[in-house]
Amino acid sequence: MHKQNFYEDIQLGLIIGPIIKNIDRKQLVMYAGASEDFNEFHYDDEIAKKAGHKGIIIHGALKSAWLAQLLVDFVGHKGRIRKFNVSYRGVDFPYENLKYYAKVIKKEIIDSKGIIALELALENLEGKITTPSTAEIELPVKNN
Amino acid sequence: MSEKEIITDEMKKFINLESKPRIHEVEKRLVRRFAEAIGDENPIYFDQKYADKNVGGLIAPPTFLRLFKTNQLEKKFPEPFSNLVDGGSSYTFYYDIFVGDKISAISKITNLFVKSGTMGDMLFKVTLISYTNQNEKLVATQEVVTITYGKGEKTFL
Repeated sequence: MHKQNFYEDIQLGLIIGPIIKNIDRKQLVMYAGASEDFNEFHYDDEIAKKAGHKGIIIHGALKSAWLAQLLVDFVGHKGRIRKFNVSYRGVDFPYENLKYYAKVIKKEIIDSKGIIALELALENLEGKITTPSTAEIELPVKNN
Repeated sequence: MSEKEIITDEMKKFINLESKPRIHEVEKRLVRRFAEAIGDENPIYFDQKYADKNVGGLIAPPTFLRLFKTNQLEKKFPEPFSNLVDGGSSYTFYYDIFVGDKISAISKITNLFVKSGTMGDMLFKVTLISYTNQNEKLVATQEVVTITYGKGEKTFL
């Protein structure tokens, strides 16, 4: 069931997640088709190896889509994402557990809107953050 | 090589040159397929009744913007390196994008700079893409950082 978060209920330091993903080649092929990104690094092992990777790599934009999904689920139908920034510092691979989460780092009311800043990260098996991210969201304010 | 040697005057002329608008219709099937491909089961992307009741119609996921490709400039940017990686994106969202919208995408290079790393000199190209709907409302922007490096046969177009 859908649950709506409100600005007042969100504490600084709150961790959203973590969510674990472990995806297969089929999901990468689906994403290649759906996003029209047909770079072979994402489905052809030989080409990925020639580029210096141990095998096919996950599309950076697919990792962004997961982080954005976490935000959409958190803001609910009455909130919204204002800004979302993501950097690709390292590559990630299918068939590996990837973990991502967000942390509330700032909150303030601006023009009677509940604005919350978050830091997000996606980590690989070794706990290295390959995909750091930041976001600014708007949550509904009670009795407003 | 220094930044001055890598970023030529010819390259600098590309800064702020806008591509011609490219219009994309937000098709229901494409939105559903995209949601499935990212593994997102939120009904706002495919359940018409639910979406009408809760968010005013079927909407597209935030990163669906990736599908709105832009037109090439008439002249091609003189790429100095042979390998390309996506460095990341900064999105700003103003309004939701609904199924049935017609989104116009325009891109321009806003900045060029050089950094040196383990792979030698790397050219960072910052491109700003703006997305406007059929009501001429700016719905979102995406700033993309593209990194190119290395000499040899080009591995991208």
